[in-house]
Amino acid sequence: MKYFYYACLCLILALIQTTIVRYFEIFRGCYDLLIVVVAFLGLYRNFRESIPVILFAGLLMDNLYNGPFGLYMTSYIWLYICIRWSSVYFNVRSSIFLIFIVAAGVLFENLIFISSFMMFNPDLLLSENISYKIFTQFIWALLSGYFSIMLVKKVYNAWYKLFRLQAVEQNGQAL
Amino acid sequence: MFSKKTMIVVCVIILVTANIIVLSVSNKHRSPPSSLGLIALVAISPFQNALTQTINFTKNLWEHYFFLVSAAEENDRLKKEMGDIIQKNNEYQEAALSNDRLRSLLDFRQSSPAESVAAQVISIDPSLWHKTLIINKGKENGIKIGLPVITPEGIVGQIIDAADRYSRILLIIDQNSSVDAVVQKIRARGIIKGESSDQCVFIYVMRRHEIEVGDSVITSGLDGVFPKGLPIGNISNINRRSSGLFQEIKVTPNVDFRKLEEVLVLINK
Repeated sequence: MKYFYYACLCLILALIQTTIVRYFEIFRGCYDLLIVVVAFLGLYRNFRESIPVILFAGLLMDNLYNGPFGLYMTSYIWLYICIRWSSVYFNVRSSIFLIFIVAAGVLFENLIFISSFMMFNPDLLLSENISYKIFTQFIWALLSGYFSIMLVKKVYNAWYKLFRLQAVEQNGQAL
Repeated sequence: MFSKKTMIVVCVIILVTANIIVLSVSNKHRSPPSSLGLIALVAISPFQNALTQTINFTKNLWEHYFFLVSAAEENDRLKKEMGDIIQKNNEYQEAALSNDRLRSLLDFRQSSPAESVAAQVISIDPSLWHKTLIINKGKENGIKIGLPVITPEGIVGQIIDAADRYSRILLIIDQNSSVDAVVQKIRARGIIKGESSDQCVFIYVMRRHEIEVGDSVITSGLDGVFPKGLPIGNISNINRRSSGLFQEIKVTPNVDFRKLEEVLVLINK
């Protein structure tokens, strides 16, 4: 059931950023919300549980945008690896780290996108205000990243408890 | 035989190399494998469509029934504007009749009006770097890859993916988009290219052409996608360098892509 939770979560976040955001001017500068899921997995869940979810999220986003196929998947995988790796050196569950982790993820994702463009399409024209847009995303991530991770964690725990309780009840009835 | 550290380094190098190869291949083909590429259009678009319909319904309900405070004021203003427009319309009708007379004198063939399909925008590209839209009409409505998409204000883009009920549009402001265009007043030709912002650049325009800020840019019809004479936008900035063959020109499209809700796909261009 936890994979069902992740699938619903990814789908809802993808729908929010492709369909709902465009109706609200204030949210136009918002960042890729699936970074929050990747950060949550990197911080709180194990490797075996995380990888299928990251591949699903990457596949979903790669289908929704018009760039080279696999770029979102690439950025999510490397972001996940970086978060896991940073947990060796930092106390990743501290509030200070949680405030910055999504913002760092936003910068990291944009860095991968820019590197990809520079590597494969060096003659592409990039707008001058792209740095402003990345900065806006960064600020959004700084302001909301911590709360987003906490929300995903709380909903996950509630979901887990609900289905565990049901499983226990069913097992009890069977016995 | 090897230390754990060496193994990690080797794994990372293999992963990076494999990653670059995969991205390089997918970048070269520009589109995902056919079965994978339509997953979004087939599986996710119905949800996007349902959500868009719900939001639009709520928005209409709010705007038409609850938010009527400024409606009377707006009504007065619109009545005044309509008077001016009726007067202008009479002048245009006179001009059109003269035009018909002169055309018949010159024996010009009347071009048939393009057949179009109206569609609703149901989602936008989530990426900062690409500009595409998904609409709720597809192959079942006669939409094919490569067809031009317009609004009354100007051109929007072209169809790049089509499923049975949904299609994806590449906007003219996307960095992969190119449209052959001319400056309406002096007929200077160039290419309108997107740069993934709200503006386009007008490239390959010869430096000798005296272009001014505010001039209208229209389609030339030479790219084989857009019919001739459709409005694109207005020139917003010109950088005429002292050397080189071409000038650097920025164009602000007539269409506000952030507020785009309905489009027309030209079926019979």
